[in-house]
Amino acid sequence: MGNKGIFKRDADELQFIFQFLREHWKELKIEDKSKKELELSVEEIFMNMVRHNTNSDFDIKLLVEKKDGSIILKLSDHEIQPFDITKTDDVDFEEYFRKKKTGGLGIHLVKKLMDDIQFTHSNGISTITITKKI
Amino acid sequence: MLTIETVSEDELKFIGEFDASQEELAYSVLNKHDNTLILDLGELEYISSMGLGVLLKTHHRLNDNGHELRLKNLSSHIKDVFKFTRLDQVFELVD
Repeated sequence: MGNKGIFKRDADELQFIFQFLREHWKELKIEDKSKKELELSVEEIFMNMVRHNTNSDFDIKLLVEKKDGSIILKLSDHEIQPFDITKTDDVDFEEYFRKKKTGGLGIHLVKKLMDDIQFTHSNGISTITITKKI
Repeated sequence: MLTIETVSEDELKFIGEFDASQEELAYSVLNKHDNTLILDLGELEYISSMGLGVLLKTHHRLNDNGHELRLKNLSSHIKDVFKFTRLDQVFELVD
């Protein structure tokens, strides 16, 4: 089972992304806690693509599927210089608080909330796949 | 969608979902406050890292003038988000 949505590169699209996901949740038996964690992870990855891949005008694709007791979400974006979020350094919280930083917690949250994160880059398209057991 | 209600001069109530699209709205309200401020998050269902960033920046701004941002009535999901990002060590969280 799979379902694909296509979204413009804009924070205002989040409302449509959540709508899309919630339509899909109706077909699946997922706890509210897991739904929120999945939605949060999708927002973090989507906004990372919107804010850091500013050279692209292409829409971002989101695929939702349920497989072997897990929800699998794939976000795909055209990217000339691939940015593998799975290889980002862990947040140094001591430094984070000392320097009074206020951003950069999104990927950390995704790593905490999801059971698996994979990154692939092929033919100019980066795909981030997140998996959560339900 | 996020709704911000004024409870009193030093207390606001955040209701709904604080995602990245609500950043401007949140700053437009929070930046009007210069003293210690209490945010009632009892009806906040969702917050992303962008929302956390807005709260952190506001906390630092108030802190620079000897004030702070206090958060109350966090749901278990919102508490988890603060715990995972260790922001429960930064903010005063009250029930």
